[in-house]
Amino acid sequence: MPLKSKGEKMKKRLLDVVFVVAVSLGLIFCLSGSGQAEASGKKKEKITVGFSVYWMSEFSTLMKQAMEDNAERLGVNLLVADGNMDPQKQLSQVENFINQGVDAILCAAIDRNGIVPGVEQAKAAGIPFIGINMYIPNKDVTAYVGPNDVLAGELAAKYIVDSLKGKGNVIVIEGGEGFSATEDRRKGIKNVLDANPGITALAIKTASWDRSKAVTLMENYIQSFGDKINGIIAHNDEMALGAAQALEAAGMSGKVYIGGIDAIKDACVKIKSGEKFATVFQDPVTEGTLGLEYAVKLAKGESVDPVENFIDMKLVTEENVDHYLISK
Amino acid sequence: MEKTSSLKKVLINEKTSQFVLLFVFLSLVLFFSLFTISFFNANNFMNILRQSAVTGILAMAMTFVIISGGIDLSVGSILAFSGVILASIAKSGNPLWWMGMIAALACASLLGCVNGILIGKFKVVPFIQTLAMLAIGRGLTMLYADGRPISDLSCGLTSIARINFGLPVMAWIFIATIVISFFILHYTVFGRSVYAVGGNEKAAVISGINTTRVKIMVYTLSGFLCGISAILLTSRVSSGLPRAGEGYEMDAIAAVVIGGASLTGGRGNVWCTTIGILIISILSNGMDLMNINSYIQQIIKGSIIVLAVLLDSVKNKN
Repeated sequence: MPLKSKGEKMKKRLLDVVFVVAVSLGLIFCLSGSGQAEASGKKKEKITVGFSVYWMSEFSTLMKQAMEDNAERLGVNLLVADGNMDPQKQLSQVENFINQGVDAILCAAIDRNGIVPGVEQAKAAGIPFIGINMYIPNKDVTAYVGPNDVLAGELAAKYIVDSLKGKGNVIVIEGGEGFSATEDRRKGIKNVLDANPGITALAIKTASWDRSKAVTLMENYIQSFGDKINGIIAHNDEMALGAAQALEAAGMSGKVYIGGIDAIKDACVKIKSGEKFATVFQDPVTEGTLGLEYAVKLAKGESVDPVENFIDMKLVTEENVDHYLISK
Repeated sequence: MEKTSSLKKVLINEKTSQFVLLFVFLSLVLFFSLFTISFFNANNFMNILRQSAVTGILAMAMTFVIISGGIDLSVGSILAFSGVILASIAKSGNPLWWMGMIAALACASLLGCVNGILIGKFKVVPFIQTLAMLAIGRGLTMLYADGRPISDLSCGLTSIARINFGLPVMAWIFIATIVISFFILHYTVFGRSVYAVGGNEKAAVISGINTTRVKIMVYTLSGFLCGISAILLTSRVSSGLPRAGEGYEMDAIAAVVIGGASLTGGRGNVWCTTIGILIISILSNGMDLMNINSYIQQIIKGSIIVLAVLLDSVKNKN
């Protein structure tokens, strides 16, 4: 290497360093264009609402979509944060919202206990904290908009009990632990099963809301129980559909009644095709819209009624599935 | 004669590569301060410190392990296990709630020690052993907690993560861990042996270092630090979550690698790991404040890890 002055060598080094840094910063800067403008500074007249959600499932995505569709109309600058199933991350997101000075916080909590520090901090900062979709049993939560999950569990279980005419064996597939939906749906299902002693629960286990985990779980239960299975009650459609898939692979479809919750499109299609499947309708659009409206009202200092708004849920079977399919 | 690229020259020289690290860190702070209004304020910095403490302490543990030439994939699971042990003892109304902390530290160190013995004495490859412990630890956690979160904890425990003494108590504990780790690594015989074992194990053996004992101690220490992390996390989210710490090992490893430690061992220090964890936290915090989609955040985090590892391999060529 020919003699280079020290200055030129330093320049070369700095150049490489600057290159690395510039690339990373440039990447972030470009990608930030796809995010919305943040809280203060740009939209002073708008109400800023921070929404932290457990993760982007089909249901919560529709809910978020409904909020985004209504944001313009309600004069809202919506910030969305995905908790990615980590309660600590969700807590950090709530803390960041509070620091940014949002006007209201909407939260679909991953863990009803893990989010409590965030609720308390919001209260201390005077920011309304609205629980949405996942119930938070805490007195400092300003309001709640969401499903009556106990009722949802009861409806799904009742469908199975009625279809089996009060006698038979069922498998219950539960949602992820810690979610309020799991605890409440479990309660509802238990209410119905306790009232119907002719029905035996062969197994009750979690598949964490996940379709593929439910497939694996059902495959194992088919191995253990085989023909003894008469019905399946799942905390959500994703898992119900996974169970259906396993049954189909074992050649058992058509022999087992399946009850799910959520009324997602795939589930409604299955009901329409005449299979022994039912679901419970939970409207993400209503929930998202109402949740946002509550946030706006509370941010303006107005009151909401009812403070805890348990949205009605409907059993979806062959008779009424068309109504729900049309709106998809 | 080999033409060494200027980039490699910068990186090989410890002083200049640390300068680069600091430069990147300050650039990020500058960037977010300019482009995000809520970034540069005391409250946000307190948040960042609180948000870094748990993974930061895991990163301290990882620093020891990586310098020794190994890796510990089980930190998240050991964290979760000691967390549920703690939560089950430190229930609300129990005056002896603090015994839960002792139990948590003991269990965490025990699991770490198991790792250490299998790696140090029985020569199981660290990646495989700690991967197995990741699964076993998580299984034990789920079994102990019956898959359910343990809540309704004692105020004594939950207040730890909420009190501020100027800085949040979580930050003080994090800082204390950094300082003590620094002291151990640079001012004790054990610390120097960790560097020796990681740098050249054969030479370490020849010079009379009991490498088996060093490795057992390193992994036990790693477990112990996971226990401390568990106390902070359990306090912060007010419950013992069986799924706590999932994926945290990635952040810990990333912090250490970004900090410039070599994955082959023998190189690294706690200050650089600290900058590494702060870079990760600032990125996460800043991108949240800029409302950047979390999936994009994941891609960026992954890309930075790849970049750091690439630069590491440039250092090690030849």
